[in-house]
Amino acid sequence: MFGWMGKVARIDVSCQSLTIEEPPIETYGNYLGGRGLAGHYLRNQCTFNWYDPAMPLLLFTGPLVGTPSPTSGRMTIMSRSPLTGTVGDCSVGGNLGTELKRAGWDGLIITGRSDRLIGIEIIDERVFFADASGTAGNSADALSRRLSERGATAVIGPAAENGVLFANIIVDGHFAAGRNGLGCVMAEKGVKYITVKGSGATAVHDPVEVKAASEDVRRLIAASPALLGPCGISRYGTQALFDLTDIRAVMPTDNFRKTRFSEAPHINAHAYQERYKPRKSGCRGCHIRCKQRFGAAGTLPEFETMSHFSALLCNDDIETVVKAHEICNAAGMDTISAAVTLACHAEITNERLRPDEIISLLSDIGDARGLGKELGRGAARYALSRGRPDLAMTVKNQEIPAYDPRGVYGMALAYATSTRGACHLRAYPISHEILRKPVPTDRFSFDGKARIIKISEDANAVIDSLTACKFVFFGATLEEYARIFQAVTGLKCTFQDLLHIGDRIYYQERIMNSMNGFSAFDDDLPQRFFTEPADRFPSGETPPLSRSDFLNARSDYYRIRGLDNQGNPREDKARSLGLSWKA
Amino acid sequence: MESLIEKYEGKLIEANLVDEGKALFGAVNVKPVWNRSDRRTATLARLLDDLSIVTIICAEPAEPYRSMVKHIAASSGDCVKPHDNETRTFLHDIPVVGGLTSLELKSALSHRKGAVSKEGIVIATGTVSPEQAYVTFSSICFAFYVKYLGDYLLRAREGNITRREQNIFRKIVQKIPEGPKGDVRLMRAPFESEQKVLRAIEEAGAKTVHSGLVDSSFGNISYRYGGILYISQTGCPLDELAGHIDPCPLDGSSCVAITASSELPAHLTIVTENPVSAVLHGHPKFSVIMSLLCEKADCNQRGTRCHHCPEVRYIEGIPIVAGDVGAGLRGIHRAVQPLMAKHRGVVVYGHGVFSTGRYDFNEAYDEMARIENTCRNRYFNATDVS
Ligand code: SF4
Ligand SMILES: [Zn+2]
Repeated sequence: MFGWMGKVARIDVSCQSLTIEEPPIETYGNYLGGRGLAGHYLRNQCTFNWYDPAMPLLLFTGPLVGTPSPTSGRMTIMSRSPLTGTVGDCSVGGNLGTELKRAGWDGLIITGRSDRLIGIEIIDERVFFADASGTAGNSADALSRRLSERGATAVIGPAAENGVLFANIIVDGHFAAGRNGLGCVMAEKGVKYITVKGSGATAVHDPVEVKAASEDVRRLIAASPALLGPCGISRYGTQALFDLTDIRAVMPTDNFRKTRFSEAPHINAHAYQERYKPRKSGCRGCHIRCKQRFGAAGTLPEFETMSHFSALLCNDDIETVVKAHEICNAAGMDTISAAVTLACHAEITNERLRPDEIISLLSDIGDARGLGKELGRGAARYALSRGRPDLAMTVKNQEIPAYDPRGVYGMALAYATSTRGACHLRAYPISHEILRKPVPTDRFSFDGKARIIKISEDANAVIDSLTACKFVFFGATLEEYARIFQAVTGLKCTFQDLLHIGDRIYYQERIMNSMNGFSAFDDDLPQRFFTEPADRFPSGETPPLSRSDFLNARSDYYRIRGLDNQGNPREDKARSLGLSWKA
Repeated sequence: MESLIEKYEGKLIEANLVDEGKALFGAVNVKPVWNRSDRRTATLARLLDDLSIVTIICAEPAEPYRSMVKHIAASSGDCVKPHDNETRTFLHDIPVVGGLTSLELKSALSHRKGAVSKEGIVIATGTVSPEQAYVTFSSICFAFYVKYLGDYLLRAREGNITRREQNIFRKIVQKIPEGPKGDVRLMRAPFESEQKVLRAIEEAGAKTVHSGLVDSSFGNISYRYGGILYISQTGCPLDELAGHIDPCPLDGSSCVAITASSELPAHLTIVTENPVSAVLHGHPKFSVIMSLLCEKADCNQRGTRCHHCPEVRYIEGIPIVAGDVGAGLRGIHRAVQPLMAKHRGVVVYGHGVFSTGRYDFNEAYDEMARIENTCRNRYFNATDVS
């Protein structure tokens, strides 16, 4: 077998046992790896509660991981989300995916619950269970540093142990598997950390062809202004997007009451460069290197974090933003969710949070102290408990990232249809609505967006399964990655074949969500976006979204995706994709 | 979708890529829409159904493209690999299908975003918008144009042309429009305001397209004013620049130009290292063709490393260098910039021309036109057509 290692480890932490599974080649062909394969293994347990010992925590790599394919050093962590109740997954960078492959594993399926806190230590095919009770309450960053000589690391911080519903798993100290509260699932299993060290390699079918095909991708990366351009993410990290969201007036400000923040030009990427003089870093196997580090162990916040800890909270102090980011990383919790929850609190209490309040509230959330305990349940639950559910800027209980949907209609639809709650990365229409790639689309129109979103969701499901980084698709396409996939695995495959697999992966997620009761009612946006206008650049107003246009686009999406008019999966479509029908 | 189809069908005609009434253009969201009824819509609708795409163009290109595509496709296997830079970077290669059956088209378009048929029909698709299919269509036509004329000259030099081929060539050449005129007058510096700068850029961009120095889907343009470089946005047609020019502060104080042209690195180094204000980049066809025909004898890198050739070649004193699109270690900017101290214009291998103006776009435009006409004359002299 080329590309895949042919082995998946089933680890039951209740009895500290390891069972090796060897999936048939058809399973690999149907689901690729990463998010696809993890979804396949989640399917039969998907209706269990996230805290059920039988609910698996899945860590999966893809066939391109550990090969010279550009940006292939990523992997997926998945389970059922404590925050949303939907499929919960995240693509994460760092070294973990590569080390898992080197150790001989395509994935880990972790089930059970350990009575005491443990660490799982993997060295090649051997799996050890270590007593980790001494690490209880350890911060994610410090523990990661301490464990780093044992290989790649995945750890949880105090936020997960304290039940923060948007707790992350932190990979290699800096890379967050975030958004869905996956950290809580790991905590519930009693696993504080996982380390992986491998000494093997991924077998490649045609190394010369992989090199040539990778060159195609590298050329497109170089040709993409958003990637290697002088103002691109390779130079400034994802913070490069900040100025653009400002002048396109899509920067969520004051809990999405406004979409321009007057201080934005002074707290942009340039300001961070001047203040912190960062150096570049990145995920394994990536030459774009969009991460920015400074000092001994500091990392600069990514665009979403930077935007939400400033504009969303009306805070113009970048040191507070960096400190807030640091606290979240140490506690191991999602920055987008944390910021949106604070903004929701600020609006409900009708106060503006001072920098010191932002910092102290974040610490309280991580430690589940006082009000922090309430806020740690996320904006939706908090707002509901305060009788103002309308002020939670969430979709399926997940907090909305830093693009206001009133200025990017494709994103409005994508937030609503995402299988993991509000997410900018499921379809990533920012590519064409803001960055003009592969060609620009009218960001104030739903015309044609339903099909574009459906195809992009499929494409990104493939990307998360191969794996590659979504950023690379500001330049390259699956056309180039199909050639790489073919050269790595030796299996015939076109980019349209890959998109068909993406359709299957995505539909599987819709089925799982439907089994958990999700339907059209949940594929929706907060009322605010349909009733309140947004800002415009340089002045004036952008109208709210038209409710009927949105609903029409969503209906179109359902038809194109092969769902019924309530957003539920259909048996015929499921079977045509080779998926089993709901039990 | 309908309005975009109409717009890009119009652009195909305006650019002389397709004759009026000849393009079949469709797009689909839930149901497919077409620009007209045609017996082939059933086959193409099936493709829109079967493939994850949103748009498709199927058309016989206008002359001279039609004859060029037909000639090359008829004598090729199932794939053509032109050496121009657009193909190399964005298309990779172009599948050739025997006929327009849905089976053959499906197979070709599952691999690539565009294809041609043996009868010379060009098919282009997109996954986002009709504009994408238009750009692919235009790129395929450009690639075949350059390949046909380039291959012909190469074989003529080798004395390898049959009488029949010569006749076809002569007929095709008659359909090639005249070269660019050199007497165009553009807005003159000094420009007193940002508004004037933007108008000057828009005017020069449109003129460059209208005189055939660049097809509407390629090229880029910039002007340095104050501490800011104003530059066309990525993928923006040079004849539609209004509202699509990014201000890029030279001190790096804003990242707004993240949507600027992929050649921003070249524009930036040219204006910061040289006493110039205006930079123009087009893809004039004969400059591209002549750049591909290296005369260096016994080069052991020929055909494998040409796009990264470290040498500077000259045609009548005009420098030719090599490099990849955009940034990176092999980016064009590294090769082009050092030559701009001594030259007003530089040709990039298989790609196009950069030219500069000290004060405004007049010099830059004139230089690009001069380079193109020089290359054009050289070409026709070498192929014995005057
Ligand atoms: S572009 Fe950034 S996030 Fe993506 S693989 Fe590279 S370093 Fe990681
Ligand atoms: Zn160019």
